[in-house]
Amino acid sequence: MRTFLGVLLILSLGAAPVWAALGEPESSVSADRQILRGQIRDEVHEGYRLHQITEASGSVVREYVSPAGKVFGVAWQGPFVPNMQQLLGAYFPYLQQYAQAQTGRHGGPLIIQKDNFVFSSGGHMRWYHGRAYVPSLLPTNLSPEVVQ
Amino acid sequence: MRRKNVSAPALASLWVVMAGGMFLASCGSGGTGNDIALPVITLSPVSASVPAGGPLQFTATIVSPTSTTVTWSVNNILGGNSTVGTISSSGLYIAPAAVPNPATVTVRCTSSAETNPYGSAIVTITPPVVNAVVAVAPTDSSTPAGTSVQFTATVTGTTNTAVTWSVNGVAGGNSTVGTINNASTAGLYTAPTAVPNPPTVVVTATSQADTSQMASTTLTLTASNTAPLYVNFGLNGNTGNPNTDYYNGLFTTVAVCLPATADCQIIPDVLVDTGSVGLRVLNSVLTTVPATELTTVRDSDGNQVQECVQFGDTSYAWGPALVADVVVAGERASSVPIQVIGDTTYTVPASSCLSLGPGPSLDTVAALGANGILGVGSFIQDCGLNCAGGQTFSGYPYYVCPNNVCTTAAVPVVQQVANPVAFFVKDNNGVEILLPSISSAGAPSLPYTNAAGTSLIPAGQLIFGVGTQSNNALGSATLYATDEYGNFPNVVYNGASYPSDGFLDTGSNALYVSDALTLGIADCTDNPYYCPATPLSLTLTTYGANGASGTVNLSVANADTLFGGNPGFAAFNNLGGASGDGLSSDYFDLGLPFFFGRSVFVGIAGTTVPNNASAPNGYFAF
Repeated sequence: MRTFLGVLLILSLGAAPVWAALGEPESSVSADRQILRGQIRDEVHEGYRLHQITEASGSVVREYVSPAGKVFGVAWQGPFVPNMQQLLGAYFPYLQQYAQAQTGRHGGPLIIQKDNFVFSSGGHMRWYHGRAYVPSLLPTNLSPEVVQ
Repeated sequence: MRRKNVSAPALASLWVVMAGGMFLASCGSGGTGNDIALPVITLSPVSASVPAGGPLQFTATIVSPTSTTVTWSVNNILGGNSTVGTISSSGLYIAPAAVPNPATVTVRCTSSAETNPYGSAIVTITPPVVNAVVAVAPTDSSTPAGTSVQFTATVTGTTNTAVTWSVNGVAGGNSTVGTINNASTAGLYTAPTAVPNPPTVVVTATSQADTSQMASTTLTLTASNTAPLYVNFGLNGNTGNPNTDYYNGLFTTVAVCLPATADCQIIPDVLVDTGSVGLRVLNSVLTTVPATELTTVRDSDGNQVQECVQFGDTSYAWGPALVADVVVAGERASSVPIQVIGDTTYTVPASSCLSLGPGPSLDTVAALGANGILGVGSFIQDCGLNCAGGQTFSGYPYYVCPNNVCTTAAVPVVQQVANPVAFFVKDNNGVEILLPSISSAGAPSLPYTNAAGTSLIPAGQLIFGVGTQSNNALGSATLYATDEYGNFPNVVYNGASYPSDGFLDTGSNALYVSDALTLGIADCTDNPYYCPATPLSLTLTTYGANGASGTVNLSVANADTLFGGNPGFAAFNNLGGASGDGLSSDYFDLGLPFFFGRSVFVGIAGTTVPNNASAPNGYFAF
């Protein structure tokens, strides 16, 4: 479950990683261009495309693109939290709203499960982990479990 | 004859019985025969003790055929004097202020009649009585071996308020039970470097004015590497709202000191967190040792270093890195960088905290539920080499703010906010978390004492060092070397592997495991925890990078039942909740419930590992 099959693998080293935001077209990635040295890997899977950026810190960000060309899911893992505003785009205000409302699980993960926005984030110092996806953008017949 | 004895000192004391012949025949013991021509004088009492400065009324009984006058003397001194005491014409003796030498004097009542017959009495002057009342503070306290406690004594009822201090009845104490000063800085107790058996001593202050008056208190000596651990609702208390209340909060007390000085502020209610690294204290809490007096951490251009720390639940903490001495139990971390959070000198940069983690800012007691966070996780610094070369990735935590514009900055490893344990002189390679077992129904708190004053559950212990003292040996614990991120390299649950997806975290208040669907149980509808119909047993297999493996048995109970059954309970060993929203986001954040009834070690990366085990990135052991 935790290994993924690279159908088509494109590796580029030392280039500037490009991030697309949740819910935005794949073509919009240039707008999110970060001046960060990292390793970028683009994969084509059955039913979706994956852009994976490994930063110098070891943090990995994965962006899942539907055949329709929209980013339907993002996932992250590693020593640092990615820039959520950049990663979630128009969905960032959802996170702001719900994150402020949840205070009960002291030190535990934050989980948001709404009809049009699913988000989970947890971990500890030097290791953070999470994902977000938009159910309505999920390609037909694709499980949200691909976002990992 | 009838003799009249009057003892009340207020009454006239001289009784001359003008009896005439009709009484003489029946003259009693005071008489000398039937042909008494001269007065016979007897004093009452004939012997007595009186405290220095005190009064004593004498009564003279005179049997006399004629009228007579008398004089009173002490040691043949008419009316006495200040050395032997004075006596009035009515027989009221006032003892001298100090006990004379010898301490006995002779009081005489002498008749003016021929041959000057007299009656006499012996008086012994005793040391003065003072109504001294002694009280000592603090009472019933505890202190780590090798540390000092200043006791104070309050003496009332006498002008001489001096006391003599003793430990277990030995004036000044000794090296076994600890010493206490009787000269300068009187009352300063210094605990022995080794905890005596039994580990309690009695400190006593005895009034020097009246050595029969004293006050004592019991002092419990703890190991110098051991701090108490408390489990309770934290500083926001029990509001009865399970959506906000701080169940399973683990707290201890630390002191923040100006470097290399005794200027310290004791800070209770600091969260103990194996899931973070470094001490973070609220700015609003630092009063007697204000943040403005701590040494700043500056970058190569002289700008003061700020930090935005992220937590997994998207909450964050913003504030400067400052250098302080941090004292916990009997251990002192000298000049360790800490973070002061909630400092509003600089505005939180929108590019960092607010974008990275848009959750609550943990900048007040209300938001944090504690006065600070003591991060004792498995690293020395909170960032490490990643932050030493400047920003090369998103989520970078360190900033400088020249001209009020905050930008990321490189901070050398040694200047980064660090685990105070790693800065202790000894016992600096990790911690042991020792919590007592509690009932599956939970417990009100740790420690817990019932209304009758009986201790039912002890406090936990935060023991510094692993394998450095007799009280922190690994024993039979299995050591699991963690990976570079501080996780078990692998956890297996129900046949599924979770690589680098499991860790132990006292700063998480529940067992955050998997998701409800995967576990086949239900989330609660009215709180953020799990509500299985019957308690769920989970068995995990944990793996270490050193090849170790073992099983962990956990239980997750219905949170509604737990909270409803005992609304005042703060401690639960079976409170659980979802870690993810589905299988792909699940992981195992084993929070405080895991620690009850266990002895758990967290080893710091890069330090000495017991038994020569290979754990370069740190370890868990239990």
